[in-house]
Amino acid sequence: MSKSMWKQWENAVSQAGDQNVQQLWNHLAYRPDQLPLLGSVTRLKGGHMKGKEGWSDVHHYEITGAGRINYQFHPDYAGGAQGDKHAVVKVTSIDMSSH
Amino acid sequence: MLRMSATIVGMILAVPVKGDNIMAVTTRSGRTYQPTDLTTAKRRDFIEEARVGVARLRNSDGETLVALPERDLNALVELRDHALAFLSLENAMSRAREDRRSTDFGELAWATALDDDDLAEFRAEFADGLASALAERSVARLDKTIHAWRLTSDLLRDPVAMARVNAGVDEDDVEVSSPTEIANEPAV
Repeated sequence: MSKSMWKQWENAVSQAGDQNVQQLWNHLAYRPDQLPLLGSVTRLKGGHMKGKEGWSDVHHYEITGAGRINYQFHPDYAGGAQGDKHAVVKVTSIDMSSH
Repeated sequence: MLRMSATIVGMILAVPVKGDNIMAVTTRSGRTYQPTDLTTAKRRDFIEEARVGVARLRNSDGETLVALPERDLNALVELRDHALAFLSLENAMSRAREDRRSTDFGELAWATALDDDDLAEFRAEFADGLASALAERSVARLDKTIHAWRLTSDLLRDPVAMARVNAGVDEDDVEVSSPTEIANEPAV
């Protein structure tokens, strides 16, 4: 996640409640490629949301009770400072406003 | 698609044509009841016909009324609304991109964020969804499709977020702590 989103993440924790955001975190950390146990995930549409170079298509998670988050995941990401292949989930945006 | 949409509206406003089995809005017996039938044992037949499809009642003015399950009526109304939205989309897409206004899209005004390739894909999925909704008597799957495209248009309007799509991890990125860890961090 970009440093610039950190405040939004903390706001998400406080607004949506610990339990709902913990469910989101568990989903992203352990099973981003599967349907969540709670909350809802939508795979976004169209050519601009298609994943490239190993990244998944962009997914959208609606946090129960408040807000939403867009993300992609990569099962074997080898970039970044660590260099070794590891699974990564990248948050592209957080929106805590309601529709 | 124009013909199908017109049929949906017509079926809501008028008694369905015999033999037209779209939405299965047909009577089981083909019988038309009189108001006086509802005071006799025939009202059970009337109610049963309404429960499984459509029951017709001709009032003293000669006008035919129909009774049907509310869920079927709701599905027809929702289908009509979606069909009208689809027609708006078709109408907007028939114009050159530079001539389109967001109002041309009606309730789908958010679709202006989609480029022509995405619009064509959206249109195709919308058409498939309408056909499936007719067969299933439910717009639930179509609603999910439209919702996904709406979310897509929201993200397309966010240039900062779009710059991160398919971009690698960089020095600006940080690992996210779980909410539990954040809650347990000592206050600064």
